[in-house]
Amino acid sequence: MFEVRFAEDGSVQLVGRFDAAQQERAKELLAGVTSSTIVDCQELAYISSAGLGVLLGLQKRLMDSGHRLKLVNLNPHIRELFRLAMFDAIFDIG
Amino acid sequence: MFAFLKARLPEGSADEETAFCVNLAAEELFTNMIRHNEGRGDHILLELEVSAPRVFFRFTDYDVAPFDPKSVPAVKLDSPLQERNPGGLGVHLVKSVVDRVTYEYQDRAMRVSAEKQRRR
Repeated sequence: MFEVRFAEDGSVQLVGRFDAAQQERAKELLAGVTSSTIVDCQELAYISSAGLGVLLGLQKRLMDSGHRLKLVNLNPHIRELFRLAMFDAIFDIG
Repeated sequence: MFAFLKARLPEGSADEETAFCVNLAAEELFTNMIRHNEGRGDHILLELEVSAPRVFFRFTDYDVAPFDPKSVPAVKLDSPLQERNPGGLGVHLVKSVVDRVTYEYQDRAMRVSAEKQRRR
């Protein structure tokens, strides 16, 4: 199960397992993100390189227009993946 | 595949990291097999062995052409954002989260094995 929830405060919540099977759907769901956004990962249990690639693509698109993502509430395993991928140099991680 | 792993991987806080890493490595190696192996095989065998010291798994893809995993370009982790792309990231993550990855090719079957030591 994977969901993208858009909160009233403008933040985006990633929920569940963000694996290769969710890649195309996630791109479609996140296509509407066009400005700086907080991505809440509190309920994100798992992510693979496919999911990281979607977030990377979104960050690149936003940076082209002077915006960026801020990722918050990453669980320790996902936080470690971001470190291994050196994504902590690309994303604001709170 | 995930349901298969979930039903068989050890549970509990000490094994939480092991389960996460095995799930990740299995997904990355499986999707790489699908992406890179050229052949006529229509199924991939997954074998899993859980023991006290380790979790071991192996994918076997039958009737495929040889594939050299070293041909996948290494990911450039320190590139600026606009030059970063996800290519090669999966292989890098697998090498980082498991203790050993082995590729074998014999009789037109490609076997990829991985081993993760369990935290004691």
